[in-house]
Parts: sequence; structure tokens; C-alpha cells
Amino acid sequence: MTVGLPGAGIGGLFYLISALAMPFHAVARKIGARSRLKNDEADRAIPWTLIARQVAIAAGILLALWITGWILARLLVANPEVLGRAQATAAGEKLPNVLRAAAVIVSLITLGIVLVAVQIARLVIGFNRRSLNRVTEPVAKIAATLLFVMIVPRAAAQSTDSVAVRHLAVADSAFDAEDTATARREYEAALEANPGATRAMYQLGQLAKRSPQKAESYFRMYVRNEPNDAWGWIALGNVLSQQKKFGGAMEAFDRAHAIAPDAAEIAQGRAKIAAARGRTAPSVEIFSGGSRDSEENGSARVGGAFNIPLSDRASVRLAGGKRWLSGFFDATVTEGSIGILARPIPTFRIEASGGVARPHSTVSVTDTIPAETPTPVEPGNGNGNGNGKGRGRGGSGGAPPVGTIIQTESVSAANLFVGSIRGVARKSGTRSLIDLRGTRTLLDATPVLAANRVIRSEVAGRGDLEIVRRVKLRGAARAGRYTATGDENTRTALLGGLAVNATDAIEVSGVFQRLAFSHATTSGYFAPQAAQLAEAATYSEFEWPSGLLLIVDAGAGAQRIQEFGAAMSKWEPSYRAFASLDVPFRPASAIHLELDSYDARIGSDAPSLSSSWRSFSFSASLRLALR
Amino acid sequence: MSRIPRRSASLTVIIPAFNEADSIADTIQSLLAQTVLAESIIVVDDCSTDATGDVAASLGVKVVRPPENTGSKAGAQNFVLPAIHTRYTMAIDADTTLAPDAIEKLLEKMSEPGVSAACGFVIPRNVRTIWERGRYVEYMFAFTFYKQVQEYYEKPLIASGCFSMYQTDALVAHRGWGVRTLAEDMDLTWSMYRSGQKVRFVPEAVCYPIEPHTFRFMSRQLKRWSHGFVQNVQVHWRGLLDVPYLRSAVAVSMWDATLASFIYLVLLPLLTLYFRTPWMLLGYLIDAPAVAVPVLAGAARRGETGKALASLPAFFVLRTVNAVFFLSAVWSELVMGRGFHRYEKGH
Repeated sequence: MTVGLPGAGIGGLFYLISALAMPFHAVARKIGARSRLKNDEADRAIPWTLIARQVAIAAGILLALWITGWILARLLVANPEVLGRAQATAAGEKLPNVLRAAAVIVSLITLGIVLVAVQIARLVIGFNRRSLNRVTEPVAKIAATLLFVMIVPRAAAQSTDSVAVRHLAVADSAFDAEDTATARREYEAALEANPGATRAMYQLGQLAKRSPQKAESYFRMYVRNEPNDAWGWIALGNVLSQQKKFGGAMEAFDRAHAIAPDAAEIAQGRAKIAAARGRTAPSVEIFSGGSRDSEENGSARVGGAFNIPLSDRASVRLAGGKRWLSGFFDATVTEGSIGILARPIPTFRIEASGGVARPHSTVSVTDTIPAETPTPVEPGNGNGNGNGKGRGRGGSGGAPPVGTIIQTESVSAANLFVGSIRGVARKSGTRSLIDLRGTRTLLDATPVLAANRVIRSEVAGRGDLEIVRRVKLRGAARAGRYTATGDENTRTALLGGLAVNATDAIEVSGVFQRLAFSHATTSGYFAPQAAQLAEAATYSEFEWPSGLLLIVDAGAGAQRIQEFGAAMSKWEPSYRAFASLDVPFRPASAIHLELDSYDARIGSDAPSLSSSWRSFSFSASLRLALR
Repeated sequence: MSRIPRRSASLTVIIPAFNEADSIADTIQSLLAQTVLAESIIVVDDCSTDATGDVAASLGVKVVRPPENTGSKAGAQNFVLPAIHTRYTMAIDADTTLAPDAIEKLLEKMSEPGVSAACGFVIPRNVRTIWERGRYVEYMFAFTFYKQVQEYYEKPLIASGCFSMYQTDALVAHRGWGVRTLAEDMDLTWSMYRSGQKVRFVPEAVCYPIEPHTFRFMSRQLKRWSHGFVQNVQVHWRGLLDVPYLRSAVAVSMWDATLASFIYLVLLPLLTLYFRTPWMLLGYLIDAPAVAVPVLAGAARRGETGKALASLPAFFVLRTVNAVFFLSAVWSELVMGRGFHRYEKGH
């Protein structure tokens, strides 16, 4: 088997130079062996036949290249139009020499760069192996590198591998004989002699299974060096699973699955995680929470849910709750839903739910009959317009006398269908994903929204495409229709940006988002003509051996908003932060805490009277497995 | 007619085979006709659906059949490795035949101190289609020039999987042939170098594999080789930095194959369009005289000058096709981080 493409280029040049150097190298080696008293090497005959043949071939290739250059130059001189304007300076008798010299110089420079890059890589890796990377100052590093090149004999670096091999051989024998103490000691010695000894890493991971954290570090080291070995990822997945780091374990099994999709150990590992996570046990959940914003709207919420697993890949969820909203007036929203969550294949998840939301509000208005003839409002006309629109002034008959105080109460209640469907597909072994969803939601951030029965029906899609390792292009689009009592509107939003996984746990992103409404509204939701947001954000997931999971999602940026009939505002700062904490106390049972806050008008569903809008919400839930 | 008694060596030959009923008899017969005989010949019939096992058994060699298909050549070879107790182990493809003295020549080199593996000169057995002709020129070029230079510097890039011999102890120490890459022979060769062991090329030991004769088979092979090479670079690059000469040869191969592929597939077509002249297409053939020198030198020694001249144009077709697969492998493995690990037979 050969690789690459034999022919011209730096490959050809490399072997050409190698062949031409053979006679000099042979003589130098012989002299060097004698001076170092290496008799075996000094006595070895120089393979002059091989050398002569290869030098002759190299000379023949050089001659062929020279002839090629000469013929090509003649052709170009005869047909100068080929080079266009360049021929004005290059044409003539000098062209053959120019072409030959240019080709050789470019190839030599390229070859030189590649070979120097190899040497630099070797020195840098060598430094790392010897812990010389503690030299942190860049200038010191460069000085150390130059010093290394000048004074350290090349042979010194080459003895480490053979030492490592000896240790590995002893370690393997001890491992086979189940002498774990000797095996561990020898593998550690092999790794010390050669930090690239991957077998030692793997075997040390195997031997450290009683100390999962130690095993994890060895297997992580192994997969960094052998990223295409499915067994390394499986071993890492198992040891993470053992430590209840289920997120990381699933990711390791996903990587293994991308390499060896038929390996039975992957399915077994995933099944163990599902069982340990309690996905096979029914559970009950109670939750409560509250929110407050800078417009003095507040809410409180309680509810419960019942999760019924159908298999380790699917479950049904029945949920219900009530939300109390306070602000300009009070309202409540009662809701109940049934949903299904399924993961038919490891890389695809689908969620669907449907239910009823029942907003209920009672608006009391106290009014005084003026001198004109008033028209009292029929109590309970149900127009649901809690912002005073229900007050009429026309009418007839039975009118109370001027100055009478009238108490008007407007009650609004309705059962509204809400639901959602969402599918998330991930590309195995990468960080690419596509997330599509369709939702029909009752906006209930404020009593006004609930009373006006503002329903948002929206389709949305988000995609992450890993363009190079750890770097993703991110794009999202949303299109939604807002229906309220006597009002309809549409919203479109687009988002684009770049996300980088700085580590396995931390993602950093930069995005630009734009949204627009078709027209203004009086139904109580935030509907600018256009809004723009540029944001830098970070998303982190930290998982501890105890199963504790902390997620932090925070962003800071700038926003500007154009209200209908107004010019675009200036850029203003915007901030948001979200954090959640899962504290498991037994399989499938956990306390979940969540905090969410905004200091950004664009993050709000409610209209803002001031130029800024802040909100804060908190929720807590308790999930209890029933077996 | 009297027979000259032949000596035998402490050598086991492994022939991994999957549906090779048409070719395995030639392979076994060429092994039985060697000047030095192997102590044992084992055919690993990797759950073939044709008569591979029956054909092999009828020629008197040992046939073993794993309970299920092992999934790769490496898997099949590793299946019988624990049962081998001879000093040397040789692997040969089931569609490859040997020159009568091939094993003898390899054994001579294997007896030198520190040599853990040795491989021979590869020449396609059939040279008829454009793909076989292209491969003939490629091999003639590489084995006449590149590989002999590598041998002088004691670092042949690879002990070819189609015909190589190993010290059994060294093979076992490396746990046989790795399945982590699609080029198990390159993986093993580079692992041996990293362990301080020697691998040698013996040009006098000649083997004749059947090369892919159609684009379908050739494309599978090129895909596997391209991905295999890139995967091995990913796996071994740190360790190779400690292996003199090989580190430079691998870096140059990687750079050259990537850059040349880019030139063939992108730069030359763009230059042709920019200058609006077919002259730029000469770039595909510009090194033809340089390629021809070692090819004709090698072919002349074998009395195949006419065959080499007739095959020369096919090489440039194969090279351009190879560029597609190599760039694709670099993009997939290095840029997108998507490993390709499905082993497809294609020689």
C-alpha cells in the first residue's frame, strides 16, 4: 500500500534529496560509527549498489524535470497569450530559467517549512513530555527551544521509547498473570518513560476501576490520544456511569457509537444509565415558583405531574397546575396537559403535549355617572378586556341620577387549547443538531395578557452545524401568529451566530438576533416594529460524581428597539442569566431549582413602560420515583 | 523425476479470506511451491458464503471459521493469533501469489538483529483495465524509488498487509493487528517503530496481488486507504515525532497528498477557467517525465518496458481519482471529526 500521490511536489523533492544524500549519509554514518566505536555498524558494508541505483534514478528524474521545464518554457514563449499580461515581463529568452528556478525555489521553501514544522512540533511535544511547559513566558519558551536545538543531542530523545517498551512487556505479563500491583507499577513506569504510551493509559484505567476518578483520568488521556478507538470511549462511558456522571457517560457512548455502531457494550452501557436514571420507574413531581418584574407584575405557581415510563426510551407525563397573576388587576390561569417524551434512537428525541389552559380574571371598576346620559355596562359581558375598554357611555332607559357611583365587574373565563410538539436530532459523534418545534401557548406573564387571552401559535427551528471540531454555526428562525380578543399580529425572528465549545462543559457563543411584528397592539404584549440584539453568551454544564448537575446560561450584549411610528432607539445594554441545579438524592428522585432573570426589553413578552425591563423568576420542584 | 528436499521454517502463514473461492487456490499453491516451506498454513474463512473454506481444505491446509464474521482483515488475522507458536508469522491476502523464493528472501532479512517485520515488492498480477494499469505504474514508481530510499534509511513507510512477515513475539506484544484504523498494516508498522523495533523492505521478495479491476472496487480501496492513512496520522503523530526520517516522510506525504489533491481538483480547473486556455490542463501531466524515469527503470529490470509505457497514462487518471478520496478523507476525519470505520473488502 502506498499513500499520497507520487510525482512532483515536495514529496518528490523530499525523496529526490533523500536519494542524492544517500552516498554522503553512508560515508558519514560509517565514519561516525568508527568514531563512536560502534563496531557492528562500522563493519556493515555500505550498500553501494542500492545507493548507485537510487542516485541514478534521482539524477534521471532531475534531468526529466529540466527537460519538462525547457519544453514548457518553449511552448509558453511560442504562445505568450497563455500568460496574459504577465508574459510582457516574463517572456523572452529568460523564461525557461525563470520557470525552472521558480518551481524549484517554491518547492524547496515549502519542503523546508514542512520539515521545520515537524522539528518544532517534536520539540514542543518533547517539552511537554518533560514538563518543561512550566516555562510559561513565551520569550523564555523560544529561548529554551533554541537552546534545546543547539545543545541537546538528538539521540537523547530516542531512548525513552525502548525503555517504555521494556516496562510495557513486563506490565503485560504481570497483567496476564493477574499480578495487578506489578502491572500497575510497570505501566506507570512505561507511561513515565513515554507519555504517549496509550496502552499503558488504557491498562492503568482498567486497573484503577476501584478508584473511578483515577480511572476516568486515564481513560480521558487515552481517548485524547486514540480518539478513533471505540473501546476507549466505551471504557470512559462505563467509568463515568459508575460515578453517576450520566451526561458525560452518554456523550462517551455516543462517540463510541459513531465509531462502532454494532458494539453490544454501547447498548448495555446506555441501558444501565437509563435504569440508573430511573427512566424505567414512574415518578411524581410537585413544583412551585414565582416571578416579579419591574412593571410590578407578579406571579405565583403551584402544580404537580405524574410521569409514567412506557419503556426506557419513552414516557408519558400528566401535569396540572395553577398560576396566580397580580398587577393592574388579578387573574388566574389553570392548566392541565398530557404529553409524551420519546427517544426512539439515541440521536433523536421527540416531545409532544396537549392540554387546556383556562385564564380567569375579574375586573372591578368604580365609576361615577356624569351629567351626560350614561350607558351602564352589563356585568359579566365577558369581553375579557381588562384594561378598561369595557366601559361604555351610550345607552337608554332607567338611567341612574347624575353622581351615582356604579360598581362594574367584568369577568373573563375561557378554556383554550394549548400544546406543543418538538423534535431534536443530533448528529452522532458531533455537536451538530437541529431542533424543530411548533407551539400554541397562552401568554400569561401578566394579568392583562391572560385576560386578553393572547395566544401565540409559532413554528421555530434552530440548527447547530459543527464546521470544525468544537466550532458550530448557529442559526434559528421563528414565525408566530398572535391572536387576542379583537387583535391579530405576526412576529418573525431570525438569529445567527457562532458557538465554540471551549471545553466539554463550557460553550461560548456570539449571536445576532432580529425580530419584527407586523403591527402595534393594545392587547398587552411587547410588539415593537423591530428589535435587534447582539449578544455574547456562555452555556455551561457541570456534573459531579454525586450526580449533582449545575447548568448556567448567561448572556450580555446590546439591544435596540424601534417602536411603531418611532425611530430605532440607541443601543442599550442587555443582560440575562439562567441557572438550574439538580440535586439527586436517589435514582430518579431529585430536587430541581431554577433561577431566571432578564434585564432586557427584548426578552419580555409584556410591554414596558420604561426604557428598561427587568424580571426575576424562581421555581423549585421535587421529583420522587415511586420505586 | 526426483524432488529436491526443501527446508521448512518456524513460520505460520495466515490467509484471511472472505469469499475468495476464485483466487485462494492460487495463493495456497504458491505457498506450497516456495523454496522454504511454512510449518503451518492457516486459512481464516471469515464466514464466507462461497466455497472458500472447501477450496482451501482440499489443498491440505488448516481452515478455521470464526463463529461470526470478524468485520475486518485485522479481526480475521487476530482470531488465530493466539494459536500460533512458531517464531515467525506471515500474513498474505487470499488473492495474492508469491514468487517462489519470496518467503526465503524475507526470512533472510528477518534473521537480522532487531528486525520485527519485513515486507516485499508488490506488483499487480493482472494489468488489463485502466485501474490495474494505474496501480501498476503507482507500485512500480513507489517500490522502485520511494520505498527503496525509505529502506536505505531503515524506515519503510509500511509493511504491506497483503504480504508481510513478523516476529510472532513482537506481533503478540502489539496485540496483533489493530482495529482502530482502517489501515491495520500501517498501524502495526508505526507501532513497531514507536517501540524501537525495525521493519525492513526486501525488494527481492516479490508478491502478486489481484488489484481492483473496476471503479467500484477501486473506489472502496482508495476510500479505505485514504481514511486509514489519515486515521493513523491522528493516532500516531505524537509518537512518530520520536522516529527519525519517518516523521519527515509522513509529514511530507500528508502535506503533499493534501496539497496535490487540492491542486488537481480545485486549482487547475480554476486556472483553466481564469486564463481560458486548455494549456493549464497540462498541469495534470507536468510530472509525467519525472514519474516515467523510476517506472521505466523498474519495468526494464523485469522486462516489462512495453507494459509500463502502455500503462503510464492510466496512472494520471488514477491519481486524479485518488485525489477525490484523499481530500474527502482529510475533510471528513480532520475537519469534521467524523471517523469512517466500516471495513469494505476491496483487496
